[in-house]
Amino acid sequence: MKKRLRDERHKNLAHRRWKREKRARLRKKGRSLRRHHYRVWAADPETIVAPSVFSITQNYEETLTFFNSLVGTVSLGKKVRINLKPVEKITPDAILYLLSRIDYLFSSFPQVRIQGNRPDNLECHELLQRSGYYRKVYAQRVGEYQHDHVLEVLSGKKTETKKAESVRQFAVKHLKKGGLQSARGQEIYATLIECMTNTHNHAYGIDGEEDSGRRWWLIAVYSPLSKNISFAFLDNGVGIPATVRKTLSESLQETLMDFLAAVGLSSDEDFVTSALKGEFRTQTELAWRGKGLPKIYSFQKQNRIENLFVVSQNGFVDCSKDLSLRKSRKFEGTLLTWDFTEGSL
Amino acid sequence: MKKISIKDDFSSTPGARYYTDGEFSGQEFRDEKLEPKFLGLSDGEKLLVDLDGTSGYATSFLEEAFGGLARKHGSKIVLSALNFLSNEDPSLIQEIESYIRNCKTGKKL
Repeated sequence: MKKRLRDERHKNLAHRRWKREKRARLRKKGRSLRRHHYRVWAADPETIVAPSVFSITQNYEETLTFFNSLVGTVSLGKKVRINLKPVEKITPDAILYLLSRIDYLFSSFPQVRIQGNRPDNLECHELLQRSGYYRKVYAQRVGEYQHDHVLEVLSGKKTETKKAESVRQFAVKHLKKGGLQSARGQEIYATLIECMTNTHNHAYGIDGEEDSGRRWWLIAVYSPLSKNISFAFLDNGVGIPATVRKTLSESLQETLMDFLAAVGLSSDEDFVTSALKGEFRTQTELAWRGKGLPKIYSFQKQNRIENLFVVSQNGFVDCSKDLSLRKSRKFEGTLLTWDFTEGSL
Repeated sequence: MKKISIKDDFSSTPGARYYTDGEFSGQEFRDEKLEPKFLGLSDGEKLLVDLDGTSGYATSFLEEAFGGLARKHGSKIVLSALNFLSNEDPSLIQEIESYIRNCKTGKKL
């Protein structure tokens, strides 16, 4: 009897010791984890410096290098500080791409910490302020925006007629003194509806993302000096070259192009130009479709809009100069930018 | 002559092609406004489509509304039954007529 009681006591003591040691192990592990998180939190952020001309259409290589660094650094789990101090010129396309990339980073890496500062240049600062950029990054206090020259960034998933109409009204309001009648500006409305529809139907591919992921972004900026409105429209889809219908020979050629792309050669610019010219490249294979981009291109040719640029994957097309270029750095998605001026009336 | 105004009878902000694209699509206009009026025409009667007063038109809206009607009922019949009014942008009339003529019913490329 005594022996049995002694054995049980030993068992209990052993069990208690085991539990004590387990608790100690967990405490140690927790401390180590907490230390790791603290190290990441307290570490100096990696600074990514924006170029002085922060523009995809005017300074493609440097601007894309900035974006690649931003995404690459966050992907490594590092804290990031975006330094916009040196920016002396910023265009609506860069603002739009910046906001969409930050959205992408926050959704893909929920633990990401992005800080930022403001450009020294007041005009650039005001553009960013109105765009809502400072609300996305942890930045110093920046005050309230005083003017109404920038339409706050809009985004959506389908063809949203009310939003397109609000942009047209924005243009009418600013260009009215220059002679724009309230009934005019159909080019603006039609162009936006075409862009939204392209995003919804083509930008993410037929088997692409669900509807919830098919998002577009839009910004419009009025310049009182040049009396024009600059528009930028962006989606982060698979790009025009991936969605245009390719002929059999082109499909065969594409296999070769994949190889050539690896050594810096591709023909994305040809596919973009072809889609703009409406050379029966709609992926629906229905002859009566695929007229949206050609319509926008025709507005440029008729001078109803100006300075149309289309950037998609490695293709870069400046429609006003009939210039198509292959870029070595790949642009994620499709960007259209254009101006609407009093001269377009 | 019967008349239909896109602005007054449908929407001042026409959308894209299909219902699935979003509100005020060309398909919606064709199914709910244009085709019922078109089918209600008596022999030789014409339907005047007033395009003025809207914010603008996407190609997909116009093509699906009018080209789509032609795909269902034939280009010649639709062209002979419809007249168009567009004081704000007369080029729209030519554009719509070309969609009706080249509706290419169901033709795959």
